[in-house]
Amino acid sequence: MEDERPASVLLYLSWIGALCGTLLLLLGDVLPVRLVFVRPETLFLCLLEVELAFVVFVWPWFIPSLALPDAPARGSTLRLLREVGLLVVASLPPALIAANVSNVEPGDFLLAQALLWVMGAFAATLFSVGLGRRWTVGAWYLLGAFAVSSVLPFGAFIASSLGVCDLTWLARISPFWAAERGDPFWPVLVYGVLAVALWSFSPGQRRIAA
Amino acid sequence: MTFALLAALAFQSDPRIESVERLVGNANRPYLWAPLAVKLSSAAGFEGDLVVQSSLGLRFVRRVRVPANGSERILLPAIDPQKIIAGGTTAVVPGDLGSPDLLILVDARLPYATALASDDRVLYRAIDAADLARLLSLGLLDACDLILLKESSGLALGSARAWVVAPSRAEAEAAVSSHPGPREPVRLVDVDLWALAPEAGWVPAKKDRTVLLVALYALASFAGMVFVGRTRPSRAGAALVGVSALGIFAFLLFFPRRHLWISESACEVVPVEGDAAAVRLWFAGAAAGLRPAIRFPVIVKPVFPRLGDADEPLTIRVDERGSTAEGFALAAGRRICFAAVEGRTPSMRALERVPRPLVSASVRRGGRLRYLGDLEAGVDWSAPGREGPGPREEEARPWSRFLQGDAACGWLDRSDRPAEDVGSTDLADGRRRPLFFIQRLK
Repeated sequence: MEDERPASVLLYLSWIGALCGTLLLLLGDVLPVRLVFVRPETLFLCLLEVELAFVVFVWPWFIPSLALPDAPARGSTLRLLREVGLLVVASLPPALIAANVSNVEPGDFLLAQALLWVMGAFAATLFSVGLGRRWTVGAWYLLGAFAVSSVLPFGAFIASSLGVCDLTWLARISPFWAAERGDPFWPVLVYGVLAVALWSFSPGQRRIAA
Repeated sequence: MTFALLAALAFQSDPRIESVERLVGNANRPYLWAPLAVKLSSAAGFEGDLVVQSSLGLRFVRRVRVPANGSERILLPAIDPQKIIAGGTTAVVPGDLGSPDLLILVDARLPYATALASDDRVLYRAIDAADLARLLSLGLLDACDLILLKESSGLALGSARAWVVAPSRAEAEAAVSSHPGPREPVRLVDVDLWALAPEAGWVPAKKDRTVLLVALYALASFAGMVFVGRTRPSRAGAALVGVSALGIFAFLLFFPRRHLWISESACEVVPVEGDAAAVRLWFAGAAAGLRPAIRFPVIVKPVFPRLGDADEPLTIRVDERGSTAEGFALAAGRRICFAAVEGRTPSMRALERVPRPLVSASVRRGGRLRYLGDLEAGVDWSAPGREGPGPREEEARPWSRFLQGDAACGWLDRSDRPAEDVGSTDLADGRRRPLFFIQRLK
């Protein structure tokens, strides 16, 4: 807990605000139009997609300010992984409520939480290694995340619609697609393995530039 | 058909179905109750389910016990019955049905009970007094347009659509020819009453509680983060875990985790004299796919918005304390409705003035409707108002079929109450909407 920065408080506030704000907007009847996709059976999925969007696209922005400047890269990564774990723990109350409303099986709920943690851990490891090796990771990460999240599912959909070929196997590594299909096993496996591989390449004793 | 039934009855194994009798006569009223009296005998003794299978997916089941070398006569509710099953024995229900305009039940104690001649238009059916009393108390006589009685005392006549005490045949014939018409029944397929159905999908209590708990969780998290962030930022993570633990605790303690909702809508129709008829509708739905069993305090019939829905399997298990609906699937977003009509003491009789406050009251005299607004206790029906329907006309319209002639109506309560006499192991939210009150004025 040493050398905590206000950035972590800001991260927590953003996270809680995003999750709770999403549920309140979806269920509070405050919007001028009714959102037809928000039904009891889809509430957990709506929340999970918002959580994934935050973890994939917002969480990386916090990583540079949360990485420990004077610690070895692996130590910094561990701290980032702990932060991801804290985000998952903080999301449990709204996630449990949404899972109950949508009648999600415990196994599916745990797999969804694992997907969240793995996606956060992958980004944390990638950025941590990038910072340690002085790589410019941010822009490439965003481009890759966008491609994996939307281009692959879109391409699979187009290919399938045109009858060209079945690219569903490729779309499965999109966390959003996998969450929607209720089958997050492949993204958990793929990004988990990638995170471990990156971890093994991380410069153990090299310190991260502030 | 009768010969086939007799032949089938003659070659049965144990238990034996000795006879099957349609208690309200051979009238073809497939959407209304057609109660049966089944005589069951057994050489070895029988304990098990007696099942009435209808032409639709509907089954009525009663647990029966027949002693060895004994017999039992059992009254069973049924709708369009086709087949009786007891153990391994099956019997076909006699099906030579006519389609009379009027079905009139006659108290068998009346001296002319068997002398009344039925024709194509009017079907008279004599019924034993004990059976009549039992069927009235169970609310199973909605197929009958009129009941001719020797006396009215001791009978739950509120559930009858129309009745008259007619000691002599002349009085009976006069009553039949001059009767203004029975109260509208609740049919198996009744799209009008479905206007009262709550919105499908969400369990109201779960949705409300989700908003409340999530708002409180956000508030607690923000308060915790701001407080800890200002004083000891290094403890922010621990504070977050603490608030999350509190949130999980609140979820476990205060969140309704089951998935079934039941909403009761009821209307009480009070005649000028005698018992009131309480028409009770229970709408049930689930946010998740369920196969619930719902316990009711009375014998209920399902009410469908379309005939096609009635083909899906549904079992009503009947016992002495009411009935249980089971064996049906409630897909997410699907709703189902059950109805019962029971006779009971009126909540109030308001022929001149209202003894209790009445919400959004209207009065109709001579075909003219006048909206009176909210009435305090003691106000009479000539209170100032305005011509035309009230603001809750849409809500009142499904009940307007029970108004019939000069009548006054309104709601006895302002807000929902917990539904206390229905139950299910899956129930998350049971509520009773305000009772709609109708006072017939003549």
